[in-house]
Amino acid sequence: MSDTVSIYIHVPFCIKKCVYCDFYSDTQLSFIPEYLCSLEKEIGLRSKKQTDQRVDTIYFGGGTPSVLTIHQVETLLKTVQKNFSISPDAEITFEVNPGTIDEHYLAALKDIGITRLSLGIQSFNKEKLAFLQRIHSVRQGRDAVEYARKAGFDNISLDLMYGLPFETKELWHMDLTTALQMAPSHLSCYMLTIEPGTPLDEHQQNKKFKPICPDVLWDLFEKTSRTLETSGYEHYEISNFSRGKKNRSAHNSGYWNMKPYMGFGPAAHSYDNDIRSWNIRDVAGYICKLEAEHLPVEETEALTLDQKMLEMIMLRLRTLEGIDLEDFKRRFGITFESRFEQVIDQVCSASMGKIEKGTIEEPRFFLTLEGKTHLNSIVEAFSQRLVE
Amino acid sequence: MKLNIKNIRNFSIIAHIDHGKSTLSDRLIQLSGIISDRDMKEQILDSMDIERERGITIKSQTVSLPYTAPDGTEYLLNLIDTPGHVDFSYEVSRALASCEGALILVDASQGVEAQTLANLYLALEHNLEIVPVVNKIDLPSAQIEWAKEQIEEDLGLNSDNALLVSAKTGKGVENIFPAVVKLIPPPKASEGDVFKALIFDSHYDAFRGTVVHFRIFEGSIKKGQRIQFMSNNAEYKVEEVGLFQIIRQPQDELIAGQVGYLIAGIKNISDVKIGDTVTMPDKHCGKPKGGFREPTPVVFSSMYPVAADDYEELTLALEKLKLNDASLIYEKDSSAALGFGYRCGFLGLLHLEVVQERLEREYDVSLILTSPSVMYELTYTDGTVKIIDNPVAYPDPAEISKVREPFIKASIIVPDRYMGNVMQVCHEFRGVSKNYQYLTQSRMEMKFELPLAEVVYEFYDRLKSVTQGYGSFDYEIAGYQDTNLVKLDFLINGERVDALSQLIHRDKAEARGRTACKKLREEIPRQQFKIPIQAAIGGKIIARETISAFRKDVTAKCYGGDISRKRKLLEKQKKGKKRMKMVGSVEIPQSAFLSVLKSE
Repeated sequence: MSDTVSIYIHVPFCIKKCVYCDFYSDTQLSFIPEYLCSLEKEIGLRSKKQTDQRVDTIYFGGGTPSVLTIHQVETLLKTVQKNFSISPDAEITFEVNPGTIDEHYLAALKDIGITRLSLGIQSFNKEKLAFLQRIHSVRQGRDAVEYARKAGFDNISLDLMYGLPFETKELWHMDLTTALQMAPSHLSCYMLTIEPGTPLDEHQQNKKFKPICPDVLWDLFEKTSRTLETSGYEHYEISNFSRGKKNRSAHNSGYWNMKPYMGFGPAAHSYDNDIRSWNIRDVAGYICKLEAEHLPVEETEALTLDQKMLEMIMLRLRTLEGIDLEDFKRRFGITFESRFEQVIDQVCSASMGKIEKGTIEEPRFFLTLEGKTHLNSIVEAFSQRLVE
Repeated sequence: MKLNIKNIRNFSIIAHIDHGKSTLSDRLIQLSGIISDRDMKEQILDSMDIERERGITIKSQTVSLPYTAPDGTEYLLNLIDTPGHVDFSYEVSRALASCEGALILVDASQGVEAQTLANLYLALEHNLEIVPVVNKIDLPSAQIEWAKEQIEEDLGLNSDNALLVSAKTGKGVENIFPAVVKLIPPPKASEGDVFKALIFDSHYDAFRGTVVHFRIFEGSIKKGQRIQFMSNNAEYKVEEVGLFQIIRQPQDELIAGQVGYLIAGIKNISDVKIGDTVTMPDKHCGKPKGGFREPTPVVFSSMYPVAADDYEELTLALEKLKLNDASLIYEKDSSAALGFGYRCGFLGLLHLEVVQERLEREYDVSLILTSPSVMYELTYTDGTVKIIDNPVAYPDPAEISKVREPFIKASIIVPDRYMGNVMQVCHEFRGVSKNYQYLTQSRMEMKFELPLAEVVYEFYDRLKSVTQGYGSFDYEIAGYQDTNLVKLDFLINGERVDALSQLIHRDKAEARGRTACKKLREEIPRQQFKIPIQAAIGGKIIARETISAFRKDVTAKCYGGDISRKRKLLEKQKKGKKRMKMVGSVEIPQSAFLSVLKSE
């Protein structure tokens, strides 16, 4: 199997929590120094158990990694480099909140070896930013892109969000055009999802707003795909678009390709082809465990073959290439077509999916754009077959 | 000190849902001191979950409140709680028959509402003394003068006596006991040689048997005496008599005028009928108290356990529930689609829902109910006459020469501005206007004949909505009339599901078929193939919907930390299928069966 591994580092701190976010983070920034000590300890402890797998992607996510000082980021990166063997051409991504940085900060990130920036722009519209309760302004969003360019990053990704309650075709079109004018190499366009337990969820239940009409939302989803494809981006995952294959997020593609990954920090997940484990979802608890020289693991699960199959379907159907039929057979010892004949027929006859057996490319099963909008219920259909 | 009849008062509280009856009852209990504040559970009188959630009282509970007047006289004030829904109007009438007075509760911000009126008329029929109480005076939206005007105009009561209270804050509540003592007369009762008492409620105690809630009109009763129920002459020996003070307080003796309970080792709850008269073989009262009525079920529906192996549990649960709810009747039934179950009779749709909820909640049995039906009278071509209440038993139409359905005489009291709306709704439900009369300048009583089947469906909800809650509704069964009945069947994926079949008037069939198909489409989850849903009369399809295999839904983000959670969600969805019933090749959830019972 894969002989490379990805590393994810979770920086669970935010100046302010956004209303829609259900990722783990804390607004008590005073924990940062202790957290960094613990992180270093975790990396040290786990690298000893690690064989000589090469690390080809590193991702600083959050939370808000850009609340760390440059010095802190540099030390952290050095710790990783010291403990693992990193490919010389590794993709090293850093998530940036435009409200936390200036020109120098981004320049310094470039200097210490970050190769890719993911900018949490969300929108160039004032009302949208206010609804999402982002800490940055429209101006700061635009500036961040400019600073990133000036710093010499050519692999820049912008995060955008659509489908807010008051979102219209025009509003989203403006955001997309503004982003396209900046010609980023990568775009993540997320439909607003109201996650249970978030303040947004609560507002919705208290009827403070009415969610967007589903028809409009699906229209936006399809338009996003078409607009960006015409502008030269490939729609390589449900919410992700890149200028050509080389600009895809190698790190995130790893998740969708079932590549092993090691996650460090509170709530971070790890996967080694058989076992998935995740850390304690709480900074204080995380620190305590490591102080006692224990791994801060909250839970570990060994995946059964069926579970792996389900994950593969769930993840690969998100992507442009879909399920590689040869790969499937190799992994599970059975052909995808025979295992799921009925569902495949159903999906294909509804023009939601296709089996392609080209001569150059590997044979594969993938979803059409129409199929992608129905992703969850298609995955459910496969899932039902798995238990029968 | 022996209690003097002059120092007893028996009263009820009449109120519209939400006007604060339960809160006020709690306050009065608190004020009487029979329970410590610490033990005070919110809204003690409505102890069943369902009652609390819906804000309605189904089983009435009674409480005897001691009160010492400023002059030192000790009183016993019996507060008799009444159910608050038309399905239970008979229980209300029996409770009111045990009182001499009633507090009528009016919300200071909402004024007089429908139910208040309906129960007021019941109360007036029993010659009760009415004391108006304006509640919720603490609300910023309270309009006390306006509420008083309504008391004068809509209720025709003197608002000078109206008490102003806030049951929530307790303000003014202390004036209630003195007013009850002053305005409501003591019971008229004789302590003579005969014994006569009225059963207004009962409940079952697992250790002591049936506990009879009664009001004594003549004579007195002690432990050891023999009693007799007049409807069936069943005799028992009294084991205990006492008062309800949240818990049962045994007493040596209860006298004429008092309200309390008796325990007599009654294991057979069907011996105890609400409205029946209790007497004693050696102190026989001769004539029973008037107004006794056997509770008659008017709506029938079959209940099936979602999991076939829960049938035994359902059997046990029904047996236990029956001990607490004498009006419930049931017998074995079976369905091709759903297997073994029970055919049950109910007082009305609310009663049906309450029974279903109690079975599911208290006895943990998941149920599927079939469409409720009334009893139809079928005359066959060979002249035989048969009563059926189950669509499954409906024969080939060629064998029937005539069908008759039960009608009711409905009396609807509304402010006259709603007259047009009421006429329209009654017409919609196949009603025929009989007459109407003005009761006051602006309030009128309208009389209709309506098919019971329509009333059972959702007439009451519609009436409430078009009269904005001001319409009060009471009815009595008024015999059978000819009708044009059809059997409406539903086919899911081409298969007829007998449990969904309904008997319905031909004119209504198409609309009902369409709505029901739509609802089924919403409720039945997507399966791996297209599922046609059809409504049919005989061989003719009258409505159709299709469930496609997939629906639009996509998870926007799925990264390293999301994978396990999303996979588990998928795994859980499979387990969630337990409450589904496999009919042919389609899994139908319990909610789909319920959805066709209502159009809203």
